[in-house]
Amino acid sequence: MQLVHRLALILSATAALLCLSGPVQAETNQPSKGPEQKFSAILIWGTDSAKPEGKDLKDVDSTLKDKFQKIFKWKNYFEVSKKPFSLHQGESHMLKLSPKCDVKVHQSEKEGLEVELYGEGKFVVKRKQTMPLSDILILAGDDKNASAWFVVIKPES
Amino acid sequence: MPSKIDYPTAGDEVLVKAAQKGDMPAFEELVSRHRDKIYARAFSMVRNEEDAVDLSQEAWVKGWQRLNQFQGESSFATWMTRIVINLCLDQLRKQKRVKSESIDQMEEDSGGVERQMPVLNPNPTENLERGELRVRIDKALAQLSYEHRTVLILHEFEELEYKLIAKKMGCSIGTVMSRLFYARRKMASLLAGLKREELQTEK
Amino acid sequence: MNNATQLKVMSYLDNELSAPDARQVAALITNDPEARAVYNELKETRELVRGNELSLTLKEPKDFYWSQIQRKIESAEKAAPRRASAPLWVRLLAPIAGAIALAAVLLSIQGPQIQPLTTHVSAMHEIENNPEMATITFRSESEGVTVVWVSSRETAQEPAEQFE
Repeated sequence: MQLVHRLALILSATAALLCLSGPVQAETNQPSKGPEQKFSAILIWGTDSAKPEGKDLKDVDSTLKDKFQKIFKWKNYFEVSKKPFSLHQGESHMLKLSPKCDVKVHQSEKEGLEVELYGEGKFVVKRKQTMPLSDILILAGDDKNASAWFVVIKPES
Repeated sequence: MPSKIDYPTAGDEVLVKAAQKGDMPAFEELVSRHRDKIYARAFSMVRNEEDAVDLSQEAWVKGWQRLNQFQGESSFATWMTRIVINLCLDQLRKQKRVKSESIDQMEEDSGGVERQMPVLNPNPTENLERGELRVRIDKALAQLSYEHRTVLILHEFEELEYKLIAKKMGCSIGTVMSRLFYARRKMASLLAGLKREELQTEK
Repeated sequence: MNNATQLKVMSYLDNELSAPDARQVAALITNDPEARAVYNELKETRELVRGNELSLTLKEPKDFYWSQIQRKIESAEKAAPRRASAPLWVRLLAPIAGAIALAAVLLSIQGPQIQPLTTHVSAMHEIENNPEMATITFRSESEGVTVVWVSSRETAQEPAEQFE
């Protein structure tokens, strides 16, 4: 239950959502090889409430928003942060999407794409995906006040 | 080793505590004690015997599943009654008994029946046995739309205040008040009609 | 007497008015014959109905009635682990017709478009999660989206149901 509360704080309405700091950290294990694939990692907040005033939240890209509205039940979706990155085989990227939300993305020859999600530094979930990534991958969960958080890994052409 | 409970003579509190620990025979005794009341509440709302039996059984199943939520803030019977009321409300909403409601709704909205009729003395008890009176009142209730009957049941029998009735029925307090006013005046009209009928029979 | 006043008289009868309003209506009832007549009628009706609820007895024999309940309890307990995921699915999905159709596609077990990836684990679609968490994975072929929903194991197994 403690972990649930901690994870629920990932997108707590104020400071966590506003803080977009954190440089992209590329941890390259071995020389890049193979084709490069470009991605965006996007942190989105879903809520039935209106956009809170004074918060630096952007509108979600319309194509992505359409998909969200078809799949999920919330009325509004706001972009908290967006980090573009690219990966070659064998490369990893650690991205800080908010002060409490980190995503590690790794591409390996055998395992394909691995996406790991960390909430407040604690491991939450890891998903392996075939490469090249064609689907948009969304890791998501409940946030407080009946809202939800979404970490989107989106391939970019 | 748990002490043996004499189920038929044990109080509800003892039975509930035992049932909360998984004692099914204790729960069976509770069902046996209160089944008529729960069934009666369901029937008063849905006015169909088969549905009332199903809903009352569903209420008992839910009661078993949620037993650990019962903290003794009310009597066990009252707690179970609330469960069956909620199930009945869900069912009635799904069934959408529009026809009878719309007639009453139109009358209620236009302020027809209840505002225009003269004030009545609805008390026809002089010539009726208690049991017969209750049957007649129940028949009068059956003539109300489900929304008017529900608000009357929740207020008169369950003694819920307007605000809680509004919450349960998913409407405004103003709507609850209008419906209750209409329901009472219609009941008065139906029961006063009974008295006139009785007087004519005597003649 | 207008409808608003009639409703106030009724509210007075039911102790739903604030003290100042109650005093006002009490005075009205004392001084206005029409208000008094409405009040008396409502009061008599209320007392008549309240004091005379029909008692009903279930026709079904006790043993039979109980055996049906017992069977339903046992059946519900057996179904509970599978059913635990259903409310979560329902909660996730947009409550509009198109999305419900999409949900049917997502949740159905018919046809190649359905990807219940929690059961279809291949080397390239693996999930690892924190032991305290549970995940549900689903895919929409038409939207080109794979969703991994993360929740606490407590929530996933016993979806909260608020009861009053």
